Amino acid sequence: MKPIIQINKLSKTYLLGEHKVEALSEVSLNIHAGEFVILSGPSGSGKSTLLQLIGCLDTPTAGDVTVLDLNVNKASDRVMSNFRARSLGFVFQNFNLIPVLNVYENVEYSLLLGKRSYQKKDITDVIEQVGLGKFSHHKPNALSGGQRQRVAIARALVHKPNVLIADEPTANLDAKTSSEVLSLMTELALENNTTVVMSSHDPSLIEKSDVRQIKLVDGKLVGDEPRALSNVI
Amino acid sequence: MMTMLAIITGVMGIIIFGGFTEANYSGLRESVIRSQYGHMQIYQQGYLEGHRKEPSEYRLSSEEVDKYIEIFEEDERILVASQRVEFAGLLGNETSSQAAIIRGVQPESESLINSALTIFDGDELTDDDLNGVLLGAGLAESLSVEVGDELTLLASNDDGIMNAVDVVVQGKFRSVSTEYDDRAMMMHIEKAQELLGIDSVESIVLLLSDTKLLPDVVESIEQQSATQGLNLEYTTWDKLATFYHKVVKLYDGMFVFINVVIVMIVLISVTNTMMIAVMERTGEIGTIRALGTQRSSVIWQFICEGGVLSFLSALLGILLGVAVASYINSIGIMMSPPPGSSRGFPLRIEFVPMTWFITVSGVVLVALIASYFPARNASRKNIVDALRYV
Repeated sequence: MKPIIQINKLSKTYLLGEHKVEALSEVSLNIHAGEFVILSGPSGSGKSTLLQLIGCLDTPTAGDVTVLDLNVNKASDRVMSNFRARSLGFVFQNFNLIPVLNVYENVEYSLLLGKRSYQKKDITDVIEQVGLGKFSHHKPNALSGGQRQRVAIARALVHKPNVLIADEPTANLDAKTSSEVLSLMTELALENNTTVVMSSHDPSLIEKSDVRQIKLVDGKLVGDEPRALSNVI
Repeated sequence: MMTMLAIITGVMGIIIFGGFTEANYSGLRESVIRSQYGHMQIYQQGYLEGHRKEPSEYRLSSEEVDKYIEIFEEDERILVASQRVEFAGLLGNETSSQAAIIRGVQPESESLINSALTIFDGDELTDDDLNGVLLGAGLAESLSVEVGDELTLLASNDDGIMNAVDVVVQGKFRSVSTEYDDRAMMMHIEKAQELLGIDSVESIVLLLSDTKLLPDVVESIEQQSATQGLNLEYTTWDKLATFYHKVVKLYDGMFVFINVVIVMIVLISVTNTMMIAVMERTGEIGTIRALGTQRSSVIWQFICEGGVLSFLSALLGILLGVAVASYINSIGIMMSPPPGSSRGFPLRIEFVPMTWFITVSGVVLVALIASYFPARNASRKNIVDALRYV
């Protein structure tokens, strides 16, 4: 079966003043549809950079990234924006909800961008699934950190994306909430057969998870351990 | 908030000053029409070009006058058709004399045309006051005469022979122009014709029921002139009122200057506000771009925000401007006389919906332009960098 994400000798170099910083160095890997992958490694190992490239938020300095059939190197900004809106979902460390929109509107925003027809029920159902049915009309600043991340998960999955990109989604949450949020994310992803690529530097979370772990150190791929998706829950 | 205040204040300024100039234009226009020129003056064909060289050749005969008056009386838009003779003469008594511009008029019909003249001493002329004259304030002062004093008026007739008549000062007047008041005298047209030895008139002055009707009346007079073969030509008040045009030019210049200042204020304020908004909302821009929002949509979003902000501010500015203008109109402030004028006038601010519409449209347009460049910067932000601002 053809991988959903193909990464071939991927490098990314940033310029910090006059200094070149190599965030990723010749990383190659494939991810198949339905896989749950955790990118692990210490701070500065290149996890977020790899997620940004897979998420079509940035372009590589060298090498290739192909997500579904889109080659990130060659796509225009317009094409990448459309692709993100239709095929990808994002969960960020800092939740990144739109402060002036309420829970319902934040979730609906993804559907509006995807330009697919939808019904109000599609939104209320996913809000119910993340356990925030009573908070539909609350603004993000009236919610706790865990609740905000649940809204972000609902927003990321409401349009049923092919790939969910989650950059340190539990970093700002306590251990109990982290576990709940992770379970929720995994459950919803499984339900929709969504491929999940998540980064984390939380050792306890990584140890508990029995899923495919890709380890990065100093921008290089140093470990790749395939596991079964069901074991993460 | 500061941007809204700047736009509101600017729009109020335009509404109030625009209304003030419009009130001045219409006030001055009606004063000029109703103190000197009427709406139209009818002459014999060729008068405007030739009357200075050969005044006697270009007068309207009594037959022509009767015919034209009959036509004008049938037109309901024309309130008054009054005959005039104008000439230069020497006015004096035992002690002093002054050159004067004399207007022979039909006193009672002319009093309607001259409704903006102020008789500040004595009485108006009536059709029975054959020997009475009205003197401009400056002329009366230079002759040191009072109401009831006798004067002798000297003028040459068409053959160049000097004639003299005795007249009595019946009143003194002020018009909108001090220049005119320094030289002007009005007398009964029959006395003027007697002095000049003529039975013809120089012009027929028409006063309309409304200044807006002037183009229509001009058109119908032209049509009648063509179909009935009338030997006449005409001029309208705006071609004679050079003072009015100078005032309009002065106020227009000031109005343009104020508008330019306000446009600059709106441009700078909105640009500044949008730049701050883009800076403060960098994280939000990063988020919506990451979720798949197109660059053009980000630009559109900020431009819309600028447009809505300026539109609401401009509307509020108009409401407040109208409120302030109504208050100013209600308290009746008197202004000092404008340059070249002899009378002060009440400060009045007219409500001009067209100015409001143009102001709102202009402010919104400027705000949209001012929003574009910050919006374009927002759309070009690197998504990864922008996401770090949350």
